[in-house]
Amino acid sequence: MLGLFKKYKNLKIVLFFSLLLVFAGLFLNNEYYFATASIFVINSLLITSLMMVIGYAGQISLAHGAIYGIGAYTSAILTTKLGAPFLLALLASALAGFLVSLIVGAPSLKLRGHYLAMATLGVGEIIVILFQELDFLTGGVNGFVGIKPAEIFGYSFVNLTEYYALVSVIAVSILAFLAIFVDSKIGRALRAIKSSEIAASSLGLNPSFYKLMVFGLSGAVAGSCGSLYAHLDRFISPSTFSVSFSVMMVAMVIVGGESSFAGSLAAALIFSLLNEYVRQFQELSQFLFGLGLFLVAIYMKGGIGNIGKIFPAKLERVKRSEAS
Amino acid sequence: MIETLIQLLISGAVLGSIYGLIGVGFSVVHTATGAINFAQGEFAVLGAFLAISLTGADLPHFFAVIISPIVLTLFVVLLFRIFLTRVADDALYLVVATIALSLMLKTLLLYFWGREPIGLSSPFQGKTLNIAGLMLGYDQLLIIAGALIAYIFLLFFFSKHPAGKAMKAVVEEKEIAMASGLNPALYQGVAFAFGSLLGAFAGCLVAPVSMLSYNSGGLLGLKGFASAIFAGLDRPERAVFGGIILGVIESLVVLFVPSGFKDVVALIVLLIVLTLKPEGFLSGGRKRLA
Amino acid sequence: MNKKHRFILTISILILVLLLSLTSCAKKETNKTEERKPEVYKIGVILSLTGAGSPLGIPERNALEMLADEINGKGGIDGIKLELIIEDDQTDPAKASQAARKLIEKDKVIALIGSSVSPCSLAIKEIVARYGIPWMCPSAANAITEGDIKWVFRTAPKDAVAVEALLNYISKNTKYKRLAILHDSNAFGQSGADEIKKRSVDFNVEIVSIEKYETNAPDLSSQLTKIKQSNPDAIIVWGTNPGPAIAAKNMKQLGLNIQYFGSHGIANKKFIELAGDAAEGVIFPAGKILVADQLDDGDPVKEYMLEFASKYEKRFKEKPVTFTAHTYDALNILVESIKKAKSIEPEKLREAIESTKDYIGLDGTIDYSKEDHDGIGIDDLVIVKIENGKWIKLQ
Repeated sequence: MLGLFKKYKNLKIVLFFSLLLVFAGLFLNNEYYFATASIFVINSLLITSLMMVIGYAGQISLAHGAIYGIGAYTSAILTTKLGAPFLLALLASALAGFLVSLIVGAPSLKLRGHYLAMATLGVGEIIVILFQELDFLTGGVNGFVGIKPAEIFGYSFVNLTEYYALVSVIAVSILAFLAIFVDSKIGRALRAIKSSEIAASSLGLNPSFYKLMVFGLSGAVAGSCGSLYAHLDRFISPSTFSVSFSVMMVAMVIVGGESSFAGSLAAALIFSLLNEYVRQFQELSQFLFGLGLFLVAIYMKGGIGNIGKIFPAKLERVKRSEAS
Repeated sequence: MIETLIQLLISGAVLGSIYGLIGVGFSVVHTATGAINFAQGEFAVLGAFLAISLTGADLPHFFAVIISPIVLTLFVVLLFRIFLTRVADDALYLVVATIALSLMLKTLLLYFWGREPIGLSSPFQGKTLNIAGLMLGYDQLLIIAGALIAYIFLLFFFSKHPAGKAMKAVVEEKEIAMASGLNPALYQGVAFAFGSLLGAFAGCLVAPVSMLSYNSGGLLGLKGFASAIFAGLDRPERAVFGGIILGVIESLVVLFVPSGFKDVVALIVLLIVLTLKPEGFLSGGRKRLA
Repeated sequence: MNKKHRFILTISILILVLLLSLTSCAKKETNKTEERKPEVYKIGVILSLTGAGSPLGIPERNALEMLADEINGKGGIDGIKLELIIEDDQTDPAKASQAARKLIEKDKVIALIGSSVSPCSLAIKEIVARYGIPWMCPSAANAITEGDIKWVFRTAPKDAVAVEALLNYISKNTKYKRLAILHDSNAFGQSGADEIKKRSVDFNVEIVSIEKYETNAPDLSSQLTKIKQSNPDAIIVWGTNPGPAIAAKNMKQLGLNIQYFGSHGIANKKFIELAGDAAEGVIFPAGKILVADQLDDGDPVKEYMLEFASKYEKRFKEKPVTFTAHTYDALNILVESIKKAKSIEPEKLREAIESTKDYIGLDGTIDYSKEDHDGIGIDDLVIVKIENGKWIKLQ
């Protein structure tokens, strides 16, 4: 068991995360808190999966929100319109996320940096427009009403406490898989490609294949997140999956630290709690959110995940100034 | 039919000039910092609102349109000096800071100028030019002219003026630039301020034609970014044409597809162009060394 | 991964599953609303105060605060004060549903009011259906009062009503037969356009072209040029500021001189201000509050509206708009129902609201019944024309 944790460093973080979820589950006492916690778990998965694209593959995607939406709509349509069981819909959402994400990732084979950002943004935008326009399927701009609750073997997860448990189990399994993935042979290959594509190709690695694989994997995770979200709120509408949400996701990954599991999870926690906290300030809600993000961006360069590295440096500086 | 086509072409050029004017701001900031300024759209709205307030204080229209971008530029210089220098050398964090900035600016715009859209009443209000049945408002004409002026000015600035050349050098050959005594932080600040100046200028030109609200920045920014990318970020002045092409496509496409899918077609064209020419349609090609 | 690792991983996940299912079994006792008299009446408010919906949300909030202060100034409801807990959903349905959960589960409000735009309200509908508390809704989508309507009561005119009022006017009072539609792509514009298309047959008019634009689009000339090609008798523009104003200006500039019909989304001074000369002659349906001073003296709502308008203007230094009426009436009906029910038990309060009859409010006369939770009918709307920058009541 210990050997496993030694080999896959990030598993420790996932274990800590799952303990946190269990602990939270024991102390929370109403459905609002459980819903908030579930959203936090979904955001954690979303941000971590995008972090893989940015941090491990060195690519960018501004379509993550749209793929999240693909998952949500797939699950909503399958369960509510076609009566498919939840677990099947969840898998289908992951598959849909995977496939669409390959399309989003395809430009990465040719484009770099901001050009890639624009291309992914374009695909994301097109997807959101389709959510709006294909109203016979999606309910159009008004949204998809009356999504069925998640149901497994005849047991219906209407109660949000139970649904939180379900979301947590699914999320922890996915996170554990991702943690193992990044430190597997494939993960190491990815890092090699990120540092030098030319050197990696000379080792016989095919950069295009690996890049697309990360896009696909992250899309599959985002797709399942969408399914989990759709059965939580049981109502979805296009604006939730807009470009601004994708931009915010990228910001969260950067805030958390480009290739840090712990940072992504911490960013997800801050993001989810801040969202809940600022709502009561009415017109000031967006300002306060922006201010929080601004301060983090300016004063926490390197990401929250690197917070440990910031403090020693500061201490040293203090010591030095005392000495002089 | 042919008349409709030409009319759509003109509408597209106007719309595109708006996009392009905002787009050049993106490229200029990118030139020196390597970052994308997500608050560019909000800067444009802020510039327009300042001008509206100035004309509200009985200042002549042209005066307001000149003063407002300058005031905004000073504000941005201060903002950069105080906060953004800390992250100027790291494009990623600069990007996040501008995302945060756009959220905060929106609230400030809402607080000071209210929730409803406002328009700038220009002296040319309602005056139209009728060329053989084709209608073109003076204000629309002014937008196209403004875009062309911005193009010529930037073309000169980046190819002839030493400051323009230095600005480009700061990102392209950072070490060399620093060794030859250039201060990157300074040029980054200048580029940022310059970008906001262009944004505010764009806002002032747009405001008489289309009323802006505190919330308009997002859409303007998105289209501006697309124009800049269309043209290629390495040639800031060409974003004007990137915008015009985008605007014309959006406008003409309305003839053939339901207008709900107008943006889908424009984006697909953009994607195809990017696949064919990964550094932008109008870029100078891969001149930079890896 | 070798076999051993895989085994350990499976085991640890299983343990987690167990732990988590335990947490769910250890559910806390469900909180029942006590029948004791509360110290304050808490009312949850969810409105779009930022984002695209803010031109609706802010006046809606203002009206609520004004009314709550007034009621509390008079000592509250039988000595118990009102407390509004206001949340901003940022025009995002996902945030609206979280806000609804918080207000119901954490703050234990006795009723909900909100939200400003239809998608946010539809999101709230799911939550309200789960927890079962009375909910007053000020937004327009037809779907809000379709299906399960047990807990929802609407004070705004739904899309269908506003469209019917306008089409009714066009078919009876004008001879326009070929209509073009230009609409916002947001929920308000889209539902309006869909409704017009659906009802056009009933009113014997033909829709010759439909074009849409994105909210905040800077220029609408290309859509209008295409509309011009279809050669319509008149155009219906369905949206909220600034789109309809830009359309009016662009039409003038393109020389498209046909009758302009608007929606109740332009029932505000802002439209006239933005469109300037181009606003002249525009005809649209609106709540009576817009032209309260021109109502017949016999109209029961006239006095009440004028009084409200002067109070509102005094406090907020702006004219009330149609939206202010929706939430004002919502809170008033709630307060009346609390008095009537003498209880805050959800079911009793709900029954009290449902039995509202001939309530005279700012939106008009509101009646609810078991089958009908839409308070506003076609009689509560008027058709207004803009002449010399002023609203003139036509019908």
